[in-house]
Amino acid sequence: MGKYVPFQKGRPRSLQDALDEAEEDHFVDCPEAPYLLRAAAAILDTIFLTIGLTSFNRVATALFVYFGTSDGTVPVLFSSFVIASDVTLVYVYCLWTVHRFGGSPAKLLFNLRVVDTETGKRLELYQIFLRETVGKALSLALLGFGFFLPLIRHDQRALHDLICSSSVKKIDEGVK
Amino acid sequence: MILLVPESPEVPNYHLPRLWQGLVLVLILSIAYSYVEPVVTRDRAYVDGVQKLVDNGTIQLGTEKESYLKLRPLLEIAPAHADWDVKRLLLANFIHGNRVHLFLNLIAAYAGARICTTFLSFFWIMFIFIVGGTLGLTGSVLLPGEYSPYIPHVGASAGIFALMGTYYIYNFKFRTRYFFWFPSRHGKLALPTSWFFFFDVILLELVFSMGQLYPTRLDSIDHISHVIGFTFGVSFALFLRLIQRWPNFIHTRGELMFWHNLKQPPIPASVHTPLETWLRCLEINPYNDYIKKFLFSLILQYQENIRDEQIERAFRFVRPAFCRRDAPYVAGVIKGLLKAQRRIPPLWLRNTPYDVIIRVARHMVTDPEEQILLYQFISAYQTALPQDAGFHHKLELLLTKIGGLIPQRSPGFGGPGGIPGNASAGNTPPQGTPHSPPGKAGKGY
Repeated sequence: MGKYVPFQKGRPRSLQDALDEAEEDHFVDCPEAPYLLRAAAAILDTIFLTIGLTSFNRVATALFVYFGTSDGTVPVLFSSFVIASDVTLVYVYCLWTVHRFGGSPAKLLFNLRVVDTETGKRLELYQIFLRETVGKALSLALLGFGFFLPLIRHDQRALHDLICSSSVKKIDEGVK
Repeated sequence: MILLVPESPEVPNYHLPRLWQGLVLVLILSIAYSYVEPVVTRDRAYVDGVQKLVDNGTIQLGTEKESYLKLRPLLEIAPAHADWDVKRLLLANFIHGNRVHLFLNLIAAYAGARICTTFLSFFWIMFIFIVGGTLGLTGSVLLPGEYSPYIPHVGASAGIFALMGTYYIYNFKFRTRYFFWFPSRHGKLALPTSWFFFFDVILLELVFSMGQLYPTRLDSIDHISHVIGFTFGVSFALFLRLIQRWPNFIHTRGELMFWHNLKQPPIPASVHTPLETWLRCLEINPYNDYIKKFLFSLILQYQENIRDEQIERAFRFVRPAFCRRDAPYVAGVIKGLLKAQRRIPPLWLRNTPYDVIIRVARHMVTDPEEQILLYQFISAYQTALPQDAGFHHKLELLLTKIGGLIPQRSPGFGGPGGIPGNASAGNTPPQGTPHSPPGKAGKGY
C-alpha cells in the first residue's frame, strides 16, 4: 500500500466530492482481499441470507395457518407475495448493499469493499447485476473454476470480477 | 436455535467467561439423562406399539386412544396437560426426547450458561435455568390446543431461553462475539446483541407459539415454553439488576465492582476526579462505548482544565472500530477540540488508518463555518504520519483540493489559498494554560 500515485481528476465541486475522491484513491491503493477472507465472507453472507430467507418463509408458513384455505392449498396471491418478498430480500441483500455501502454485510464486517478496479468508485447497479448474475453463473458453470481463479491470478480477481471490472479490496490496513 | 455460535460478550480477555460453569451444567444434564434414559426408551417402544395397533385397526383413534396414551411410561416422570405435578415439572428440564435432542440441548445449555458468567455467578445461572425452564414448561402444559392431553412436555429449551433472555438484558446495548467456523484467523465476529434478538425471538418464536395454540400445529417443538422461559429470563434479569444497583452504562462485573467501590468526594474537587473515574473504567473494559462518550462529553465541556496527557489517554480508547461505528460522534469530538485549539494526539493520528480519517472527515463538512477544522484535521494527520508512510502525496493532493474549496476568511486557515497562517495551528496546545507550557507541543510522541 502507498505505491499508487493518484492523478489530478480536476477540481472537485464540493468538499464531499474531494473526500470521495480521496477515499476512491485509497481503495485503488489498498491490497486485494486474501482468498480465504473472501471465501469466509461468502460463507457468512450465505448464512445471513439463509437465516433471513428461512425466517421469512417460516413466518409466512406460520401465517398460512391463519390465512390458508380450508382444503390446504396455498392461495396464489399469498404464494406470489412470498416469492416477491424473497426476490426483494435477495435484491436488497446482494445488490443494493453493494451499491449503497460498497459491500454485502459480511464483506463490510470483514472490512472488504467491492470497487471498480480502475477508479476505486463503488460499482454501478448494472455492474453489480452483471457481477452477481451473469458473472457468478458463469463462474459456477465452469465447474466453479471462476471462483478459484484468484488462487492463480496475480491480482486475485475472480471471473465475475473480470467480467464487470471490479476488485475486492481489504481496507483496514492502517499506517503502521 | 443456534444461528452463529455466540461465544462471549465483547469484553477484554480477563473478563471472558470461564469454562467450568457451562461444563458443570452439561455434566448435570448428562448425568440426569443417564438416569431417565431407560424410561425414555421404554416410552418410545410403548408409543411404537400403540402406533402399530392403530395402523392394524385394533384400536380406534378417539376416546380409546387416550386410555392408551395415559399409560405412557414417560408420564411417570414428565408432565402433560391432563397429568402433572410440580415435581415432574422440575424433572422435565432434565429429560430429553433422545440422544440427539440431548446433544443439541447440551450445546445450547453450555453456550447459554457460559455467556452469562461474565455477568452472573453460577448460583444465579442455575436458578434462572431451572426456574425459567419450569415456568416455561408449566405455561405450555397448562395451555390447551394439543392433539392429546397426555403428550408429555420435556426438554431444557425453556431454561436455555431463560438464560438467553438474561443475557440480552445484561448485554443488549453492547456487542456479542460469535464463533464463525471458517478455519482462518478471522473466525470471530462482534455483532450488536440486538440483531440476534430480533431474528430469533421476535420473528420466529412469537409467531410459532401462536401457531401452537391450534390443533394442526406446525411442528412438535414447544414454542410456548421458549417464549415463557425467555420472558422469565428478561424479567428476572431486570429485577436482579435493580437489586444489584447495576447502572445502564456498566457492562461487566469488574466495572460494577469498581463503580460500587468508588468513594465520592463530598464536594467535587475538580473535573479531574470524574475524568479519572471514566478513564479507569475504560481501562477495565475498553469496549464500553457509553463510557467513552461520557468521557469525551466531559473533555469537551471542561476542555480548558484538561491536560494534554489526559486527552491522549482518552484517545487511546478511540480505536478504529469505534470510529467506524460512531464516525459522527468522533467527528464532533475532534471539531470541539480543534475549535478550542487543543491538540489532537499525534500518536492516535499516527495509528489511525487512512480510511477511518476519511470517514470521520466526511462528518466534519456539514457546517460551512467549521470546514476550516477539516483542513486542520487533515493537516494534523499529515504532520503526525511518519515520512515513509506512503500517504503524503495523497494527503497533499487532498489538502490542495480542500484548500481550494474552503472559504478563505478564517484567520487560522493556512491552506494553499494564499492566506498566511500555520496549517496545523489547531493542533497546537493553548498557550498560557497551566497544563500546556509554551513549546510543549509535539514533544513526547
